[in-house]
Amino acid sequence: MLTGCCWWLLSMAMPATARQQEEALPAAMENTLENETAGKEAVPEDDADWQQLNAYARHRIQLNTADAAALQSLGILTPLLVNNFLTYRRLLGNLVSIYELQAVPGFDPDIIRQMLPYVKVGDDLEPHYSWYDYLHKGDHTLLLRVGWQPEKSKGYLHTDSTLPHYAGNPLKAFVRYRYNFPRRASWGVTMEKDAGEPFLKGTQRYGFDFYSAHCFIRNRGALKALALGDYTVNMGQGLLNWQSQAYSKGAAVMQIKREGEILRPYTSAGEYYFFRGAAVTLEQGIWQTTAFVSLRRLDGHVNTTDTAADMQTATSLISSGYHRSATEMAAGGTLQQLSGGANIRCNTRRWQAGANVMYHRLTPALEKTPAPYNQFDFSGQQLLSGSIDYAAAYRNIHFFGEAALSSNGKPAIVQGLLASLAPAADMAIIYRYYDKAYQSLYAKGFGDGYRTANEQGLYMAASLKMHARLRVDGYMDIFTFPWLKYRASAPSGGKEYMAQATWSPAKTRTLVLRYIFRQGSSNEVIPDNPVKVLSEITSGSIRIIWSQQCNKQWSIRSRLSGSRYASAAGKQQGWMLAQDVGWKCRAWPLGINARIAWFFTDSYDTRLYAYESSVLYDNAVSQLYGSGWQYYINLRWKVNKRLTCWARLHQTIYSGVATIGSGWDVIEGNKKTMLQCQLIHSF
Amino acid sequence: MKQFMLTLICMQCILTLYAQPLLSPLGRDAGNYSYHFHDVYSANMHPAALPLLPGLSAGIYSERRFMLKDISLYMAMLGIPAGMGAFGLMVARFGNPLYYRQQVSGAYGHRIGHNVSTGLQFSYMSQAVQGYGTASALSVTGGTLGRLWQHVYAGLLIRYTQLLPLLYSGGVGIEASKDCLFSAGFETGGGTVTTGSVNMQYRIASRLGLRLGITTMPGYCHAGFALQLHTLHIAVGTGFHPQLGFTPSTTIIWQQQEK
Repeated sequence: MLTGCCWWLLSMAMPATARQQEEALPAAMENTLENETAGKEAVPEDDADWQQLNAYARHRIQLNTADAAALQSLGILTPLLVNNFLTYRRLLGNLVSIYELQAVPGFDPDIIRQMLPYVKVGDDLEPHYSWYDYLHKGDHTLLLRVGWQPEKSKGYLHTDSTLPHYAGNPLKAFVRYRYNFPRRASWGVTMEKDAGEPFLKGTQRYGFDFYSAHCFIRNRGALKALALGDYTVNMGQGLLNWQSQAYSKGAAVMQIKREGEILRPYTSAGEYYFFRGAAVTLEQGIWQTTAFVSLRRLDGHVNTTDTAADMQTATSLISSGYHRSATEMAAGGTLQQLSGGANIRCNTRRWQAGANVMYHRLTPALEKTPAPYNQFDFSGQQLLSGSIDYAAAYRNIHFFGEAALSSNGKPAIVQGLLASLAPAADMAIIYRYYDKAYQSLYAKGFGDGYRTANEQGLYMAASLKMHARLRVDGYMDIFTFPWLKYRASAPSGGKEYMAQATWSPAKTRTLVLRYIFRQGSSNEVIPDNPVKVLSEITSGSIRIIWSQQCNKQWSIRSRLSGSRYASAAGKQQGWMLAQDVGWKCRAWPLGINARIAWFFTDSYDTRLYAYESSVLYDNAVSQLYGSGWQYYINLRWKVNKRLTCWARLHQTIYSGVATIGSGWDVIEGNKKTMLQCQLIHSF
Repeated sequence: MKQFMLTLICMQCILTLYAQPLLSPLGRDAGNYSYHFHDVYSANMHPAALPLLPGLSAGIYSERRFMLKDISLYMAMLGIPAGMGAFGLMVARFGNPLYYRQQVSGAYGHRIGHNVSTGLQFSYMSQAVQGYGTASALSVTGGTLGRLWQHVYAGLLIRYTQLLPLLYSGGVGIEASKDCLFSAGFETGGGTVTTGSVNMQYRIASRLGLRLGITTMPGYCHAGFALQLHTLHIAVGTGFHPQLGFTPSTTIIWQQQEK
């Protein structure tokens, strides 16, 4: 049935004349993905920013009519650069040519090169689209992706007397249909089944495990945005609610401010960070107001000792989205979450300010099993919180911040500034204070950890252009955690320093050197002591990347990564050497890229994270520990202007091990393979 | 006696926590790796910076370390240009009548061409603890500063003190504009912990400047602002140590106008 639907959709598309164009993920986003994977121990599934960039590649932003929101949505420009560009355009009129970007203060060749695929200069009039245009000027895209692991893990094996732990097969499937007219209209359906989840049987008798649909209209008169179905809400600096991707500490040292539209369509496969319902943003002059309501089900463990429904409580919320085993399926959709909120803001040319409010009601109520580390976490049925946020530009300085209060009266504050101190020097400072008892379900404020609570810190960063071909970036972050946290059984703190030099001897060659030093505390087993104690940890990582576009066909990328970890228990280290090669066939619409990597780490503590090139819109980050080899090969075949296919083989071979993984995911043997196929049809 | 015991305990804490060298305010040498940020205050840390002073200059500095009156630091310095070179004088006192450390320094720096300068400083240091007598030592400091290319400056300093091993320090400064300086430095030697520092100075307006910096081992931040009133330069700042707290400081410098 599914195959039939797909072919029907494909046949519908045949008369269309749209074209498919793919762009690789920007380096800053790669680093963000690596950091988020390291922080959450799971690869994020949100590909909205990547989709947006590719949509802009087909419908370029008109620089002479673009507003601040459109430029910000690229994810390439800092608020300082956006402000510089708008000031330039206001003072000197429309750009005559795309080459004029070089005259805008702060726009160096590297930034312009990143922007070029997504912007244009030409039609100088603000287009007025009719409803017909909304419905017909966008692109329809159908994405089909399947992936599977040939080696069966323990969860799929059965014995004579027991069924497999996982109810489904190892196939991972993802289907997405989307119509997208950037910054105007979007609608679509997303379906996903994780490996191990049943399909068309058992609890998933309707097929996929996860379904999502959305309809989104933007910039229609006073109607700034209207969302029906699944959407995300991103307010202020993320203290109250931020469900999209957000930059944190990383290679892009100046990209620390959360910015962009409050309402965004949700099209990703993740099953947690979105709302389901309706939302609207209205704009009148400098005033903008947003209201939203959502009703959806969440996964969680419910305490069923009380049979009376009103006496039941949930002991935890689960964000993984897995429904493979009987336990996971029993926890699926056990909580009902009613959410609502509003934002009112005033936007002027120099400043903007807003007030936000958010309300959640969980049924049954959340009552976590009390433990010292979680005693300040949210418990109960209702959570009401509010915040105010602002952003303002004064000369070469951009200030921003947010102050939030949760219903228990505990605050969270973040204040920052970005300054362009000289044509070749930028600086960023951000201070955050998140009370140990501050509570929010979807906060994503800037910080060392991924919980917007129990943290205070000061981050300072600078970006210096030493020479036309040499840039030096660095940051330092000093932080404290006033209360217990994961793997820290006492209040703790630490600091982190990063220095990075980027040398581009030519447009086609880049060398990146990066060093990160971190000092923190963690519970450690120390010799002759059976109990873990909080100990000081120092770690460092070094990365050297050489990228070269040899010619129109060949590109190479060499990477050396090292990590060092020192604690009371001893010192460990890890290394990875990887070589990437990309090749585009001249005669055929075929592209291949591949990697081979050797890695060695003393322990899990010196594990290395490496972003991988995968099929389009698939976030892939490897977590490497132990010793062995890893390789992958990706094939991309552009059948015609509308249809592109991908195939991927990924294998890791560990040396000196009999099994890989843990728990129900353990595999017998020393090889772990992943096969993927993807098809994207645009029409 | 109570005051004496308190002083000793505080000193022990400071030394244990690698707070900072007793007679060295943090970040004070940052301006040396530049063209537009020299003053007599920074030049007394690096004798090679003396000939880069624009004219006769004098200044005083005071700080109350970790807000404790008994471990205050006072310094007075003088820079006297002389042809292609310049002389520098400095006196410093740290502590209280029961425990104190003093230093008297004389220095000379000389320009070698447009881009390089060198200098030498001789210091006499003494330390006294009531009831335990006085100890003293001589030290010699020599260094050089130079412009590497365009707006990038670097310097090196070697310090020899009686009874102590050689200490090496150095740094690099990037003058992004005449109003903005980023610098990074290190100090190491004799088996001591290597200390790194990063500093930023920025003039928001012609009369108002800001300063920010951090050091490692100890993890220490400092920040401040400075006002320029004709020939007078007034700087107020504070350092922050995570365990020991704040160190407020004030600097007043008179600088003869450049002819």
